[in-house]
Amino acid sequence: MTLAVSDLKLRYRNSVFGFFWSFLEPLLMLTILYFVFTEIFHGTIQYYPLYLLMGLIMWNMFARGTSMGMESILTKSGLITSTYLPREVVVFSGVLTSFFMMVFELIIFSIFMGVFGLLPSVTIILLPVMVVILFVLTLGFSFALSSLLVYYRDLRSIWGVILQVAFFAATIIYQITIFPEKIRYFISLNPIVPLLDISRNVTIYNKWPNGGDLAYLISITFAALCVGYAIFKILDRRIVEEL
Amino acid sequence: MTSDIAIDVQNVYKNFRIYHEKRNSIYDQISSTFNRKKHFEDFPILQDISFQVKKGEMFGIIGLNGSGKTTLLRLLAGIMKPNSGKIETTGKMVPLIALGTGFSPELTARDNIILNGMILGFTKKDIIGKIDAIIEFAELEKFVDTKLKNFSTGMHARLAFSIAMQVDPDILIVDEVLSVGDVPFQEKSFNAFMSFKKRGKTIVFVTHGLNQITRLCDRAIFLHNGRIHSTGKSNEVVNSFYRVVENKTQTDTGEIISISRRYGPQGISVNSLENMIYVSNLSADSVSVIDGETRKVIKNIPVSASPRDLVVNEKTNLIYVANRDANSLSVIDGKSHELVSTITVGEKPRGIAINENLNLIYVSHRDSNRIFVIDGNKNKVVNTISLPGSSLGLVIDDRTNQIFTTIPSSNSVVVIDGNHNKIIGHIIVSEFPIGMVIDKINDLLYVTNRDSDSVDVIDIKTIKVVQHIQVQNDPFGIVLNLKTGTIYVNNSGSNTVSIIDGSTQKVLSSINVGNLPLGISCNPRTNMIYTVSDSDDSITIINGKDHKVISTINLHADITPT
Repeated sequence: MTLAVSDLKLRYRNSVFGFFWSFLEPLLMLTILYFVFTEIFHGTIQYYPLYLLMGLIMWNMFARGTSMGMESILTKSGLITSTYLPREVVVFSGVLTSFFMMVFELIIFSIFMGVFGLLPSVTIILLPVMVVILFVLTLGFSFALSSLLVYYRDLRSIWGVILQVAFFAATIIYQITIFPEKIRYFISLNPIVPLLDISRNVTIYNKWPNGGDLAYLISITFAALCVGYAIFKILDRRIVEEL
Repeated sequence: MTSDIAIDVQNVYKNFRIYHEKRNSIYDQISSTFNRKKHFEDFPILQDISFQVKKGEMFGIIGLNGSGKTTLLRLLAGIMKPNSGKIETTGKMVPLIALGTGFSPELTARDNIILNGMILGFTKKDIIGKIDAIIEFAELEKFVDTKLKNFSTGMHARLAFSIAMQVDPDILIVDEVLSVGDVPFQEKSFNAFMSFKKRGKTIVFVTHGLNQITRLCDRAIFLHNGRIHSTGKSNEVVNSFYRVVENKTQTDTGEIISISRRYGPQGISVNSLENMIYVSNLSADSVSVIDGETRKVIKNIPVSASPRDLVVNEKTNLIYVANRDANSLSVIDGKSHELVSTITVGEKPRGIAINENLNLIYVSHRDSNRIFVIDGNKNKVVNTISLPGSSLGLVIDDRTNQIFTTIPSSNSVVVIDGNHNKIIGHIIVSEFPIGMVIDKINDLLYVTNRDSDSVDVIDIKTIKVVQHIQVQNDPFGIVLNLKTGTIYVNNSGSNTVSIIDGSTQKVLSSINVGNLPLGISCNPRTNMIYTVSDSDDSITIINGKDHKVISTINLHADITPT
């Protein structure tokens, strides 16, 4: 934990604007998407800018978190081969760094809500739960990816492509209704879809989530963590030799 | 595991996967699924490794390159896991493997200390409180806020080492640390190791510097081709290492390994009446006896562990040898050349001085702040003299019964009244005083200062430094020919012997001896000067008349029986 905090602090220590740079990219994305899609979805999605922003923030957490988590073992290889450090800590700290960035982004989100004159209702208490679920989900993926990357270095590009596809196959920019009826079921299997759905409902639309969706999300997150950690543990044994 | 064991290693086996063709991408993996040929082999790195390290022990690991030393350290540190076998450790452990790799080059020294300390399991508060001590130990006060990328390798190593020392673990695992850093820092690290050890902490140490192993470690193991070749006292293990390496050079002509320290002679002393030369062999645990006439080794007398200095009592014809690692004094009869007695003394005996009139023997100790006084008739310790620090060189003025000893840690020479065993004077000299010699004609004491490359001359009547003579690198042993009044200084860092004129106290010339000379002695009757070097196991003979090297005696030469 302390390692992750200091890692984050040290990361942005040298450039005053470093922290803001990291927001620039998603901000640019938001602006473009906003101008392009507001026209298209005008009227169909209530509070579309907030809808989009929430989607981008949470997606960025997942995409950035898994990427940072995936690289964490390789970038810290010097440390791993020379000191005894539980390797989990390294992955954890990589994901945590991205998590902190999301927390800052959510603070900005709350400012936007204020601009729109929206006040959250009691349903907002479920947002922290969603955030934790997102964190655990990212961690699970990162465990598997980080150890696999040591053995298969082209995983980096493969994962990039997968993320790209998943970005458009999820409900980040648009609603699930945009997809043909036949494939909607498969789209909603992606845990990001119910996650975004519930998060938006509890924050923007003051709606309680559907119990089934929540149960599915929690179980798939738990499964991701277990499978990811199992892969990590199996590969961990020879990791130092492969680095 | 009993409570006094710090590390317990049982039947450890570890293999590495050697790839014939490395498949490190998913593409390779898929494309080669049709290729059923085995593309890797499991290569054993370590086999049947079992040993125990006791608490408070300094434990050395030696071996040739690729023998598995670093892998063993990584297993001990828990960085890797063995394929089979068990490793148990008790207490907090800090590994110092590949120094400074945990550092971030973009951060300042201060930030790196914090980060490193946290990785080693400290809270931020604790580590911030220790920053000053760490920086001070590493002598990097000016560079606290400099980014690490601007540090030299030595500075990196010093910083990493200082952090580890401040963390104060129960077990320290060290891979080739003392080889980086300059000489003063090495000395400092050495002292830090010693104080660490005194507090009952354990150190496991890997190095190629075999003298470091014999100097520092109590016990050692020798790894050869992934197996333990020998275990035991460090100097025995080092000797078995030389034997293996020697065989290897004979069988395997492709590999050239220089063998320099098989005997590792350090001290030399002459009986001028009998014209006999005695040499203590630190690595071979023996004393070589050389006939001054024929210049042949006539006998090697086994003594105890790591004989360092030795002195001849010409009146009784007895030779006293300080066995550094056995904490004892061996007494050899000069006639029969047999060991007649062994006297237990303090920790790491170093210098010896004899008052031939009273037949008293004085012994200084590297690891104990005391001088032991031994009655030469009874071979018993009769008294001890407490000092403000550990002392190395020791000489006695038998006319006044005054004893002089060098204390390198405080750069001083202490004067002791031998009649009352009390300190009566204290002289500050230059850096790291070691050897001494008394000029009885002019009442002067010459002191070699290793780290300032100089010799200080002290007037023993007034107890004041009267002259400072610059010599060459690392002056060590010093001797005076009373008949000619000439002083000879061994420059242990530069292959030379400096010759000083005793009346003018000026350097007359320096002679190249072709090796790094340590101990020095002279026979005033024949006017021969003998220097001994552990760098090539030889003795160089200098003629005092024309100051020319006339001969060298190789200790490896066959012994000719008398």
